Amino acid sequence: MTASRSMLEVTGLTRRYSDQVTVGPISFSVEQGEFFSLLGPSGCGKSTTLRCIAGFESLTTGEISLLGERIDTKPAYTRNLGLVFQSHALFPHLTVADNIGFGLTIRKVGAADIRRRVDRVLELVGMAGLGSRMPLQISGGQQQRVALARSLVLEPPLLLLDEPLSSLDLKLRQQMRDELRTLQRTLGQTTVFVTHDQTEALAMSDRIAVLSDGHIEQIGTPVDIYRKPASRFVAGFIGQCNLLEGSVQARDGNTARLAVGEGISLLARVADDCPARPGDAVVAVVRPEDVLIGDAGSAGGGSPFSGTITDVEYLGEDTQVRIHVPGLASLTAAFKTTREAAARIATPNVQVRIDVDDVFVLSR
Amino acid sequence: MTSLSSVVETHDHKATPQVPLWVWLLGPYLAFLVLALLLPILYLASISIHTYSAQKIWSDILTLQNYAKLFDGYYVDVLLRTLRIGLVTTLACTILGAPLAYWLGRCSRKMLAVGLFLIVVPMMVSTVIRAFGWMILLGRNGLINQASVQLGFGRWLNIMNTEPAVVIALVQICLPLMVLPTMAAVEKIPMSLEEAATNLGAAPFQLFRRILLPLASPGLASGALLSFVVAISVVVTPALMGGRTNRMVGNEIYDQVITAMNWPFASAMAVVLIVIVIFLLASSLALGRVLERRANARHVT
Repeated sequence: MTASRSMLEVTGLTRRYSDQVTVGPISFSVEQGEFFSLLGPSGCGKSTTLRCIAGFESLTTGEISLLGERIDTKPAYTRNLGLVFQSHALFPHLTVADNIGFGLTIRKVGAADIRRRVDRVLELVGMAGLGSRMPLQISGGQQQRVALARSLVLEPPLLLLDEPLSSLDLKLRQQMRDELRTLQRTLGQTTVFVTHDQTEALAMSDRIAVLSDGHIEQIGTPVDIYRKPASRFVAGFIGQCNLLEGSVQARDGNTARLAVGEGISLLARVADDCPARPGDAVVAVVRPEDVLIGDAGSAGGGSPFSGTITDVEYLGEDTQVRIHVPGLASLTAAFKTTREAAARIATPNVQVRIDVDDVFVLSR
Repeated sequence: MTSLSSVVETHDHKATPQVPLWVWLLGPYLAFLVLALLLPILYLASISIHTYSAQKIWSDILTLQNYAKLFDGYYVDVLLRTLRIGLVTTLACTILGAPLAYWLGRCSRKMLAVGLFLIVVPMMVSTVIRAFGWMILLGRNGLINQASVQLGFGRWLNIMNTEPAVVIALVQICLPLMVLPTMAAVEKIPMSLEEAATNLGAAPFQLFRRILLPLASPGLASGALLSFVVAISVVVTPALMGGRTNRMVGNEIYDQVITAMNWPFASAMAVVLIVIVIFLLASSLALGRVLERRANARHVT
């Protein structure tokens, strides 16, 4: 039974603001020790869901349970959940140590005990010895760590992170991302992470729930979400992709032949549970890195095309090219920038191949 | 000031030496303050140490008699009553005004416009008319007693010409002075701080005591200071609401200037009021600086 291991259980959560704006119904469960992300564009309901769990907004319908006990009816200050804000929300009139010790002071823990636990968690987040600073005297990254430490010191069963990295600049964001993930793994801290950044979600999560317009589009591991998107929205939101509209020409077991353009057919591997039958309208999802150019695609089966390179975008480590394939809309291909790869796109006319296992079929 | 003048200095290369910008920005008002406030106060102080003369209002003989007279039982009573009324008014304004200020600082833009309008409108009505309104409401034959008689409860309200009547009218005058700065302080406290404290387990009262109160205290302090200073300086309100037995320093000054023509004694009382105000301003500034220094000292250790 998963229910007994579930740390957090959200069932049929809805939140109605006005006549138009609604969130939900949203249901998901988070297992003990899991890093679970709520990913979606702004306004998709991810923050509302988090605020409902934390108790700052009330549900219109639905239930939230923590370790099998309903919490959605309890006042926010009794829920005992950790929460890190995007703005860090450090108390400006208290020192770093007093900020971190705030929850312990409220819980009437003894002064010596508070000092010991605050020191330990300061060390944990790499800020030993900085406890006497004021929040305005430390950098953004340090403020982030203090906000995290302030929650962790209470050893909450569940940690909620509300876009904690988006106020930091890129370099720091990547560093904090790794630190946060390492810390989470070391502590086995069950975490719900809200973000609009798909890279962050893919890099950090055990599982991701992709939200759009107030409902969950898909829940799955990062690999599932990326390789087997459940909808066009998920395919388009997570990473770049080529969406080729067409129909099923024939199906032989787990292989299907798709017509995706005038006289262009594409072989695709379909799972047993994929309902695609000949004549069905489908969308083929192909990631740019799976569009192979020239010799790179000579071995193995798949669908070959000829095309013309119309645009080359050099991104340093990677190169991205647009290829015009007659009868088809243009394809985007991406590959590691190596000398061999550069040679392959030296002439504008190229051979392109897509492996049968790299085409994912979505029903339309 | 340094940043302003340094901005000007960068322009000095093309123009002939300029007057620093702050002179233009602050100069006119500073000149006005010196001419219309500082000099008259100094003149007032000098009158207060001259002897009263029935013929010339004051003579050239220097004396401290005007100040000594303040230690007469009657004037000590007036002074203590003035401070007491000021204190009670300020306390009542804090108790009534702080929740109001919090609500205004947190409500929607639309409600804020309505709320501010309701708070500011009474300030546009003269204190005479406001006191008169209270008299109509609270008087022996006022609306409350009339309604009470009609309902068969008799004429029980007998508050006019008492100290509480003065305080009631003053609270109404001082409340906006309390609410506006406190509201501004509350607005500066991000909502996320309240949520963070709540999330860390702070119940509403703990949130108030540990987060809201310390962060809003500069606003509360200036509100309280303004209320107190205005409350101890009033003339019209105690004259109309307090009757002959509840006179404040302002009433005594008025009588000495207009009726008794004893300007030296009136000046002495005015100087005492001014000194009280300056003392309060200075000590609140000093307190703020001490608190700040203590916060910084904590960082150094």
